[in-house]
Amino acid sequence: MRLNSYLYLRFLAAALTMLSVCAGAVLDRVAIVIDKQVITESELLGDLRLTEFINGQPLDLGPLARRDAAEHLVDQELIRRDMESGGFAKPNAAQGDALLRKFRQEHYPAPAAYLAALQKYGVTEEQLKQRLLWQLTAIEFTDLRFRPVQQEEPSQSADRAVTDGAAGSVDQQMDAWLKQARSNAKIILKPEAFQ
Amino acid sequence: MASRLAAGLPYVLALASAAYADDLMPPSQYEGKAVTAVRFVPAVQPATEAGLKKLVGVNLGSPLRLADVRAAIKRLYGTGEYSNVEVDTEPAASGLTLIFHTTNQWFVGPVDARGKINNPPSSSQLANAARLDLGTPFSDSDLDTAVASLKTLLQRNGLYRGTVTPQVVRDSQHQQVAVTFQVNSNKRARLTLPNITGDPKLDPNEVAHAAKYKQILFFPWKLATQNNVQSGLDKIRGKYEKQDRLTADVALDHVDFLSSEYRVRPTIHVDGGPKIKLNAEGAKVSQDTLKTYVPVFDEGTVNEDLLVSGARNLRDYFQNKGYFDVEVDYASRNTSADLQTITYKVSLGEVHRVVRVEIKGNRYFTTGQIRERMYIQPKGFIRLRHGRYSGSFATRDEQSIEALYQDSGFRDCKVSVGVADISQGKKGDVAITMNIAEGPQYLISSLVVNGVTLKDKSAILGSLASLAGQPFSETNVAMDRDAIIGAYQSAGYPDTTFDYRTTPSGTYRVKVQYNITEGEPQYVRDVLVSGLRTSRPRLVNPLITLHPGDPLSWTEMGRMQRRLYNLGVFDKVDMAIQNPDGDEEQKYVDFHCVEGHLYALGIGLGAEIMKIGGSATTISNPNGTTGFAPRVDLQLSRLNLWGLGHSLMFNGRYSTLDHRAALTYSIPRFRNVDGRNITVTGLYDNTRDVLTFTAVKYQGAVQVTQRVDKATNLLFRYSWTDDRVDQTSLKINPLLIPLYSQPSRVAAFAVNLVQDRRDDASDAHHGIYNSLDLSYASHDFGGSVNFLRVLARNSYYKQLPKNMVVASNTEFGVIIPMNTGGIATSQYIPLPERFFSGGESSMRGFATDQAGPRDSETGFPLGGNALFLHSTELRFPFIGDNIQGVLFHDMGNVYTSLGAISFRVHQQNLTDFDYMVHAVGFGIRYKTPLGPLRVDLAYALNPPTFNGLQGTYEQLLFGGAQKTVTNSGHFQFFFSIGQAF
Repeated sequence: MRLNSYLYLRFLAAALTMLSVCAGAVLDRVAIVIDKQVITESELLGDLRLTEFINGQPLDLGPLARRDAAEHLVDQELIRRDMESGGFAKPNAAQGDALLRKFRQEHYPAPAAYLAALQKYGVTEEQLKQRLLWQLTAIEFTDLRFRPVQQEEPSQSADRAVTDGAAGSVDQQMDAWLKQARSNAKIILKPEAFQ
Repeated sequence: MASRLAAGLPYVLALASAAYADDLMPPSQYEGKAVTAVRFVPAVQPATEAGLKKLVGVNLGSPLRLADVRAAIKRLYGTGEYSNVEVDTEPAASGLTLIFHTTNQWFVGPVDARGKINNPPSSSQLANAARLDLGTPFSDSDLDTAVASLKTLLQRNGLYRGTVTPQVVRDSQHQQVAVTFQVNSNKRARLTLPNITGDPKLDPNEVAHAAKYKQILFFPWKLATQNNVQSGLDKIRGKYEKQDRLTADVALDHVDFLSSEYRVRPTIHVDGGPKIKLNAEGAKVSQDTLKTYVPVFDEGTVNEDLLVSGARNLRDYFQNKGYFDVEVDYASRNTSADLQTITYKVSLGEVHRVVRVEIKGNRYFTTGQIRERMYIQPKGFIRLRHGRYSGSFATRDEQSIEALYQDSGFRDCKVSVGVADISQGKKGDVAITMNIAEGPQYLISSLVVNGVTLKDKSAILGSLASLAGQPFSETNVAMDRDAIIGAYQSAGYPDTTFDYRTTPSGTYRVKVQYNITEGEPQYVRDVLVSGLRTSRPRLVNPLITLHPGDPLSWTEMGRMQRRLYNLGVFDKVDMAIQNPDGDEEQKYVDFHCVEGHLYALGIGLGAEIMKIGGSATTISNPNGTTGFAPRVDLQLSRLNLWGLGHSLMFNGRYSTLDHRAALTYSIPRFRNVDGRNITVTGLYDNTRDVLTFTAVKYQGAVQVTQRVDKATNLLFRYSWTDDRVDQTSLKINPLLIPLYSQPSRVAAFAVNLVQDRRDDASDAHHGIYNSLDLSYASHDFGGSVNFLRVLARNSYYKQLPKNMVVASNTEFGVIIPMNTGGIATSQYIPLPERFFSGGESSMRGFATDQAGPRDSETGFPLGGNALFLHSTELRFPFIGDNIQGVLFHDMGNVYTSLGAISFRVHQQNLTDFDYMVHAVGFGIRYKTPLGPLRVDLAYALNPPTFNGLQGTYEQLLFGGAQKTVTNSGHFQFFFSIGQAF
């Protein structure tokens, strides 16, 4: 009986492996296209895993979560393009280490739990560090790019006052800009990657 | 056991399928395994095998990594040739086979709209509305958007029942789709009375009727086209403008389709705004002047910018009148709730005259070279009586002269305008001095061009404006950049970039370095031509000069497009590169041609008013009297015959002087040679173009023209003409009527060389025009007369300072009769083949065709066998910029023969016409888009005096006419279009 169970488990494992390989399982595919820029499904999933890990959310790679992640990736790509065209000075790599330390202290003070979580979500420490660094870069850039113009002197012209009045928050400005940038870009989400 | 296995299997399958559906294969299962083969599905791919290998970038035998797979997917997608790429594997003997599943991208090919299309919108407007741009990626979802756009366009034009059905034909070889929208416009709705919303200030009903959507009397409401709706808005705006409500805002809010009535009701939002009153204080300014210079009337609105612009225009207006110190300001106030008054306050100051404009400090450029760039002008005799000066003109002149110097390396050049009061006796006279501080000239010490690897590098370098030892200027660098980028684009490098840097090198010397980044070359994969419905490929193919493998040259593509247009059979030629943003090296070039209409009809009405009257029944007016001849012209063409670009054209004219019908068959680009055209013409002409006689002419001609270069054309012609002079129309000595009324056949070969180097054929300012026409008529070619005819013309134009032009025209012609069979040479040539001259475009001392020998009895012109004419004109600005004055001198005549040509100015007797007639005169030219409108008044200094008869034509034949002596008159008056030559 024990032998039979052992054989049965081995059969199951072999069958799973065989099926996954013999069925011609996909290694990667085009998931998102932003003009000529391609984001593959593996990149999309990697980003999703990182996001859920950082946010402490349960690991969910389902279609809705993928679609949300895709929308964020599109926004990030548009911001990255704007950043590159403007010659924005990015934070240095050393800041990445500090961010990583801070993240670990806040979320995973115990190293074992940290490593276990990394393994569970399928992300590496380097990917995490790069993601934290990118988040900082994006926040600094969007703050600089979309911060409302401050009135320096009360006697500024009427035109300037109109600008100030319409400025709103960074988020509002950025949302408006993203909407405009999205309408100017050709964005395609490939359905195969969101099933 | 078997049952347990069977029970467990669904669970295994479910697990496996879940792993496959929800996620990609984990990298741990394939990373590091050797790639033994790479396969594409489908096997036929847009890229070549070598290209695919480069794009995949995975070496066989090397371990597989996810990063490599990602990179390969991105590279493949980046070519633009695929709409999807997916990678999987299958096990192989010693590793894995990598399989790329690709879906080809489709691209937009020809897009047409056909069917029962009720214009507007036209089929091309509908095709454009689809917004499917030639060569761009196409997806099926684009089609839905396009259909919606077409329907919107139809509805905007009242076609609410229009249907649009797209048909897509896919050409998988070229990954291109041809989209045809089958359109059935159906019935067009009509407009109805619009709704008026907002604060119109006027009675809304009155405003609604002002749109005039209802036609007058019993005519129905207008059709609901976009143009008609817009025209209604314009009419409402016009109504408000008439009431001086210039700030009225009239806008279409929306339209409602009333399906039960099948009508369209526009809703128009109107804000009437206050009345605007414009006036001026401090100077007398008429309302017309205010309307001309204050743009609030043209723009139909009032705002700060327009009012400031009005003040500036008024300042320039007064400065041009000599008030150089004028100040213009404006104030706006609300006089009442419904009235806004804008007052321009003018402070004129003293009136001045620019008596002198001096240029100082110029050494490198001559004063003339600088003056021709200046707006500031000294006073003239008729024109610019105060000269021309204003602050803005001064600034403009300073800038243009500085730019002139900077272009020649004088980077530090400074120009300033000084105004000095030199009123000595005459108050207000000023002298303008243009002070030029040239500064040093910067020269290029060395030029280094990096990054050019093209074969014709030396040709590119040879074309550069910046060379060692030459002046350095930004303009030259810009020209060089354009030349280099242009050369690269011609050679198929679309992404070439250019930058330059300069470094000082000694005193006023500059080292220049051009850095070229060539980018990747692109090549032609093939040229795809679409849209040839009637035209045959053999018409178009010879013009396709790009072939597979050639560099993808935009310059050559532009030339091809131009040649296709020049065929004259296409209304539109769209040109595009398929997949323009893709990274692939080889590209398809698309040309989509839209053929024009096959038939063209033109009808013209006109009239001639000149000295063409007074000789129908009488012989008393050999010079003619002013007559009026109405005429109708008809032109009917069948174009693109046989699909080869040939055309057949009928030209007909009917007037009281002239009955004409001509049929012309044209073969352009004969045997695909640029500029070689053949025309075959059949002509019937019954004309009384000379008062002496009426001739009926039947002519057949074959003509070959060949363009030698841009300015030179060569023409060979064979013509056969049957000339019949109506003997009842001849007003000559009755004894000569039998001779001159004999029918003649003229069969001639002719060669004509034309060289035209004028800047503007209708109103030349510089250049030359030469023509030489040599024809030989002989019995041997099928005619009845033998003669050699030469006619040469030279026109010369030279621009003088102050926009004056001197122009001269010389014409010389001779007819040499041969083998006359005993007939006197002076009587051998048939009347219609002789030289006649005189009139607005030849010798203005005579009325039309009145120069030369005349009948000794009646005094009517007989024409001659030789011709010499010379005209000189001085054309000068007269009034404003559009009216030109002309002083002219014409000399010459038509002579009996070559030997009779004489420069003698006195007529020896009443039958001597072989002398030189001189005429002087004055003319005015008014510039119009068709060419200058011309009025010339000429005074002949020595017109001929000759014998004539007073009486009727019957009296000429049967006696009774009274002998008189008359002359051709001193004054001649001409009115026409175009310069004299």
